[in-house]
Amino acid sequence: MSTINFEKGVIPSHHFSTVSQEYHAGILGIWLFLATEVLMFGGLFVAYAIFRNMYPSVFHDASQLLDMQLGAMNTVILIASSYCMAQAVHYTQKGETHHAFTLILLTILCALFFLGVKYFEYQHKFHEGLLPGMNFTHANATREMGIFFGLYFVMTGLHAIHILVGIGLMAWLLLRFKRNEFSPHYFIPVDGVGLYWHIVDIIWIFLFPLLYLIG
Amino acid sequence: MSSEHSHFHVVPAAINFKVFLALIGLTILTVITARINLGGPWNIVLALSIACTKAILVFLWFMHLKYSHAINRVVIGSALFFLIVFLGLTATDVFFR
Repeated sequence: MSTINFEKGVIPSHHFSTVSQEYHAGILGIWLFLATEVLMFGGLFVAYAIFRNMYPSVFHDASQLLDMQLGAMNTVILIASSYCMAQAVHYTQKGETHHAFTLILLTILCALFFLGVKYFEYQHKFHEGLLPGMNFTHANATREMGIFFGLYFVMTGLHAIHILVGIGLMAWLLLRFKRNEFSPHYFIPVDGVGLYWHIVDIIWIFLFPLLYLIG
Repeated sequence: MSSEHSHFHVVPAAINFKVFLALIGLTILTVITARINLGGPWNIVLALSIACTKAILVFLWFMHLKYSHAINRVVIGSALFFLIVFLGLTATDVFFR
């Protein structure tokens, strides 16, 4: 239960009175952003709930066309990346920034692996004619199955965009780590990117059972 | 936990590791139980319960909600509350039409 004292003659940005006020305001800002993220994905989850309720057997059959093992592997990869990120924040808070640097690098590698798996999944689905629209040429293609795959591609696609943005943010953190800009007195960007990365993990925690496991 | 304004809490590495193991364990559990037909809505109820448990673990420890200011819990809690309102009111229309 170690705590770290903020005020050690460290100067906050000019529009804050103390370093801890700056820290708590920054983190509150991240949580407000995460609230909007929850609501954005929430709309898609509600759409999923409605259409699943309308066409339960179609959703059941369509989800069988997804590769559950790849989905499970990606779930484990994202959880591992979240753990690396949590540990990166831990080491930054303790001032061991060289550990934090390595852990964020590992997080990026996990994220790239996740996207690699997603690339092969998408490619396979395109090839099978499961992309709704002009190329929706699968043998069992129906309008209702198109709704499932429409939701699948939009939900996982929006999630994948979040992974891409996360990789960019983590690369930015690595640069700032290299310039020795983070310490136990200033690490809002590390904590903030960490919070963002964890919410991306949480969204996948729900996407995985809803899309891959409803067999 | 962190009512002292000038302090923040460092989650111990051992706790982070336990949360990681719990998340992996719950993932294995959800994959195994998905293969068993529980009948009726129970498969989806179980899968979502496991997913919610995993989300709570991430929120409380990886995202430090257990230790951070109450205002952060209010912010994310309100988003989840309105998501439930959104889903609930839609359900009364669509599911019971």
